[in-house]
Amino acid sequence: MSAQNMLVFGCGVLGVAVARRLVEHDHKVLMVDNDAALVEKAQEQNLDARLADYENDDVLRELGIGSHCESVFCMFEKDARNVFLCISAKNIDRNLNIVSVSHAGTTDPILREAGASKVIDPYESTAYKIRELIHRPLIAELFERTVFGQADMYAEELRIPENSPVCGWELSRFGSEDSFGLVILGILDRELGNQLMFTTEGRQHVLDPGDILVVLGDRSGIDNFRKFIAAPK
Amino acid sequence: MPSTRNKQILVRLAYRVNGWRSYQKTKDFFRYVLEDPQSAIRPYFDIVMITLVLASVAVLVYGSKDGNELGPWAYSFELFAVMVFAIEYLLRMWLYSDLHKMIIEQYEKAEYIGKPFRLFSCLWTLLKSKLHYMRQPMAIIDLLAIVPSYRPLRFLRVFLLFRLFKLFRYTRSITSFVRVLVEKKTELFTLAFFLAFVMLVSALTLYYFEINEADSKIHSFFDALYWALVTISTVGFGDITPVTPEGKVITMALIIAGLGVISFFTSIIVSAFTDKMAEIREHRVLSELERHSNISLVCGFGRIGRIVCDKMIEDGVPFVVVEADDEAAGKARSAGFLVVEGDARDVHVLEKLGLGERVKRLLCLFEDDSSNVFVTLLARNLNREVEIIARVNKPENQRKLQMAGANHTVHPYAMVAHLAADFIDQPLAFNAVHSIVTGDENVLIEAVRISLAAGEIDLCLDSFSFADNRLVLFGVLRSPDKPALKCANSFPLSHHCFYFNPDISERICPDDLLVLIGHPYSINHFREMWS
Repeated sequence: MSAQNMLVFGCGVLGVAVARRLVEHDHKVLMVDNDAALVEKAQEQNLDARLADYENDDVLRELGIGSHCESVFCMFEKDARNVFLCISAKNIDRNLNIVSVSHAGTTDPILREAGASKVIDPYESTAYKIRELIHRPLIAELFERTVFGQADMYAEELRIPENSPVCGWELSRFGSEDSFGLVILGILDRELGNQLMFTTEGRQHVLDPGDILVVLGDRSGIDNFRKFIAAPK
Repeated sequence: MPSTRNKQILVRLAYRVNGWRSYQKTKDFFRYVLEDPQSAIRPYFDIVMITLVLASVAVLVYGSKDGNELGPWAYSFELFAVMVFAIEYLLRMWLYSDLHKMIIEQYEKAEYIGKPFRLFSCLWTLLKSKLHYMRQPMAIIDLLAIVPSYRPLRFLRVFLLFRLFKLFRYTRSITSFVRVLVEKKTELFTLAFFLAFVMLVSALTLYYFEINEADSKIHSFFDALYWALVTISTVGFGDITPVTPEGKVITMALIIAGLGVISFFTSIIVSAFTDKMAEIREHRVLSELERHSNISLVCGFGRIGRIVCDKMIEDGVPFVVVEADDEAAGKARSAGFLVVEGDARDVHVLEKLGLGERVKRLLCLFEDDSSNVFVTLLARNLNREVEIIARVNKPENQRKLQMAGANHTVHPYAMVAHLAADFIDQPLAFNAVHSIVTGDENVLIEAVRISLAAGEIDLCLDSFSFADNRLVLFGVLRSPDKPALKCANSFPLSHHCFYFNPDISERICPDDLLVLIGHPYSINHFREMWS
């Protein structure tokens, strides 16, 4: 995880939560808002926050969009502002990674049209989680304590480098030993498209350099596996 | 002394009746048929009684006209109807109170205080309770309806009307209509008084001006009153019209007053019904609720509430929305959900909804954490067992909610942060996990319980051939008191232990849950084979 430069627009509860989490993941984050009170509150929590007018393209350029900024997070409380920001930012930098929150369900497609790479609907996600708690409490608890909790279980992507010892292997070859106790969820082969192919479907798939494996397991297993596939043949 | 013996006989009789099971059962049965609002039989009983009432009235109406002849069957039918009504009256009187219980209560009270048990005062209490029943308006109507009307005595025909009033007992909607009017009786009385006053004044004036005119239609004061009412109600038959100019002026004034009266009357009725509407609706929701146990309460109907309710309908979970805001409640109602308009922060509302017994789960979905904490506290206080899922908006309040008694907390804003950060760092892994969790892209995760036949105790994981079934084994959920599995990592849950990625040579125990990832078809197929 390289430390990218990230901009979080919106210093409300949402923005602060996102910024904090990004900081925990060792990213360099700058928060922006045009409301002085919110900016101050964010600064009080040790976050790097600045007062700026996001509606001005020059200001956006100055903040780094179009140059060193790689991801933008639109976390305003009002959808209209998020949409405006998406359009403005995308206009300056076509390759910018934009993640936006959506408050009204109907805004999702609009945000995508405006250029957001990912739209997050907190209400739908929360409702979904509640439904899991009601309908499948066991599975919900399982995920809570493993992948989504503080436990030692992570989902990671590992790119298969050139000259990897696993090149030419079929997915089905990976037994428990070979995969260091990890569960392989799936593989992305750019030659076959941009969709992740789950292990359940692609057992016959032969690994090539450049393929990306998605694995699930503990930290040490993942590190060992990464070393294993990186070691030259 | 003779009265002591009588007392003893009475008390002993009361105790014997109290212990007599079939007496109680019969009484309960009749109560179920005649009075229980949730009974399935009662609507049929009501229909039968309504038909009987209408039929007997119809027969008598037909017989009122002089030319029509009724056969001897009409007399037997009337007798039959009268007997049925009489039996019903006696049954209701019997059901009204439990005499034997009252006797026992009096006796035991006397024993407790140390005063002698008075026979006559006890009998007087019993009589009073039955007299109280007889004083009820519906009971009076029932009694009067019994009067047989098949006699060529004209005045008895009036009692026919009481038969029709009896219908009120069987139709709940008319009773609620009447109750609505009764609630507004002050306004209606004022209106009636005003109406009477105006009628009197205008009748007097018209009478004064027109009684002596030659071609006037007014021949008596009663005619003037009749005219006044016909005019003020804007009916205007036209049988009595003013002939003098003064009379016409009074008529004009009365017409204008009449419009005022009509609108006043209409507004009273409309406001009475609007007020009642909310109550009737709530009553309907509450009686709907009583049919279910294990209902879920959704407190706060915002966006999250809406989506959760949609999903609960899909999953067939019975629920009620509790929302104080009119607009939100209206939205919930138009979506077809059961709604109670009330504030979940009011403990009376929670009690009314049956939080003590009928509610299995409570969802606190308010936008402010203080409300969520408050409702959680209230609910936990009312019911130690109810499952509470609460929304937490600011992460620092998570602990407060857990201390208040919430079983689970959900964090919309923290979730955004997680999703955003995970997406940025590893979009592919994020999508993979997300797809599996939500079940999009036809990849599901499910826990399948294994039921083993007698000879399969030694089955090991290898024999399930997950790969051939296009499934991936995520892990095994096993009861913590059973032996542990050799695996990559293990995690304790509340009632199970989860063994992640176990060794395939490990053996399965009965009641183990295999957590599998795969296409829904594959999972179902597997379930059919092994479950």
